[in-house]
Amino acid sequence: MIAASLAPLFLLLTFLRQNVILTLAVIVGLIHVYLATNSSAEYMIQDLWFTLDREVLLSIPMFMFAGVIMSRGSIANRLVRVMTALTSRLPGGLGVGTIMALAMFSSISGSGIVTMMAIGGLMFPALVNRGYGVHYALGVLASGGTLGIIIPPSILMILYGFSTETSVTDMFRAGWGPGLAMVAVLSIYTIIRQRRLPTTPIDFREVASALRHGITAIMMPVILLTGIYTGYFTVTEAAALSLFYALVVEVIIHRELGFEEIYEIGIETVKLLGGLMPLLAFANSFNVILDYEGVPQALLEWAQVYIGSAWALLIAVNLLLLIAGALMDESSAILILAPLLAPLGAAYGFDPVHFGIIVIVNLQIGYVMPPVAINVIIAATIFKQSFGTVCRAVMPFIGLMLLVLLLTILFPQLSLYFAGR
Amino acid sequence: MKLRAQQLAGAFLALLTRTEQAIAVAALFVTAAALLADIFAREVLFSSLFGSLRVAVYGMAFAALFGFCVCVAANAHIRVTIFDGITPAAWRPLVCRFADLLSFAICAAFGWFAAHYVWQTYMVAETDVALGIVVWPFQLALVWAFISGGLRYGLFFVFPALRPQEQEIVQ
Repeated sequence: MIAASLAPLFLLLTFLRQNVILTLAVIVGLIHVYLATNSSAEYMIQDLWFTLDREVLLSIPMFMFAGVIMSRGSIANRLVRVMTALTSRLPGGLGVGTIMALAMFSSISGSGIVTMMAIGGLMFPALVNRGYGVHYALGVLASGGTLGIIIPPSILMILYGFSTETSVTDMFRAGWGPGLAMVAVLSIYTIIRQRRLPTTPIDFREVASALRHGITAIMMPVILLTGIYTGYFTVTEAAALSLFYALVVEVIIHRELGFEEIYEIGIETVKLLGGLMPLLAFANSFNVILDYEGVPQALLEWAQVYIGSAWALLIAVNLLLLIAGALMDESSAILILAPLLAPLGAAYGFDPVHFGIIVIVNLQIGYVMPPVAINVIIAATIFKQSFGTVCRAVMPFIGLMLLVLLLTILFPQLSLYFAGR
Repeated sequence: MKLRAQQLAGAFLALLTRTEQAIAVAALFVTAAALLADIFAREVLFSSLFGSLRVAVYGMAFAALFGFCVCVAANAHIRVTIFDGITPAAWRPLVCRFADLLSFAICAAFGWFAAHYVWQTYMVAETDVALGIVVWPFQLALVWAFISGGLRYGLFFVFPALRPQEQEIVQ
């Protein structure tokens, strides 16, 4: 009876304008108190504390802090200058340069939103003024911003690794394949769609100057990812060093940020952290109690009776994730669904890292899939366009992202080659 | 009289927010400093810094829990808005007020449970194995987060003008 009323309760709390954390808190609380055997509200609070008390999560605040610093400082500007200088000769060169800058920024930021805001703020007016059209500019920035989710480092991958005990380093490696595939698909689409726009020859003096000014920004992903992949740094250490590097570059070398700005950035970061970490704690408590009650095992047994093949499972999982990505915020979706789906994937013979990347690419699409399309909402706000305009603008790009998802599913080596599996 | 009370409540919330922001940001800096100090000690002094990771973890917990309060103060928590259009526009202020009352009740209940849990760890003198210190003072941040959040929602219910405009935040 109570179990059956949880879904309507979720809808009721949503209707009553409760935020995601409090909605999840009520549902998890009811499960602990009324549904679970041998549990109580105190166990739930204990779960919350145990989640926040985990060293494995330390990389999240560091990547967040570094990301917000870089989006406020000059690193994004420098990356844009380098990438647009290098791609000016191509048809739709500014669009391709924007995609490259989004990809480059993604490799130093763990967040799709931060990526879109950092590059989008610079490139939206530039694209529109150069005749690329408002719809294209909105679409490429909202969808290209999601590269921050798939190109490592990625906070969603850290959450996936945390909730399914999959190696975050392997996830970071495997994300490169689909990430580069998406860069290629978006770039080809841009070249075809914008082929009639005038091009300019490469100005080698400008390229050299942009590289000289952008070297600190370009070196950051090199240092960060080389350290992680060679095993010299853990992910947490790499996150702390990326913060250190961002501070040194923006405060000491380029002198773009002072103490007051860093304090303001700190407030922005703790707001982000305060929105994510309690959600993570409640979701973890939810998964602990489901695991304790044997729900993943029961789901697995049910699936083995009703889902006959790995392909059928994959279709079901993809549909579920696309719907979840469209209706929920992606952190909640990954924290609640990943621990239930990962054992299914393993039971049906999927490599855990490949399965994890499929989950991430699905949820990456959720960032631009209405109605709960976070990148679309943010794009509508920062570029001062209506929600409907941005929704229409991202439609062709959702098709391109589905193509990348299909490639990721059909060719496991696209992910696993980079993970060395 | 009511306006005076509202001004006082507003001033109190502003002070509370500034204090919580300062604590959360300081905790974030402590986390970063502890992690960097550990890396520095290992790379330069060839030995790890005792307890640095635990300090970083407590810093993260404080930053996150006080960040929760900062997020409530800014009305910036993620909320699914697909049902917002269902209620007639004229009813919306009433629905928002009821939502604040409900949020207050949820936070109050969780604050109570959190206080009960921390009381238990205080009674058994639960200790951090690495640092050898009791953990209940750190866990009080959990109680604070819910009580402070609940207090804010309660004041938003009583004085709707104090509720800031919603600004959805995302990670």
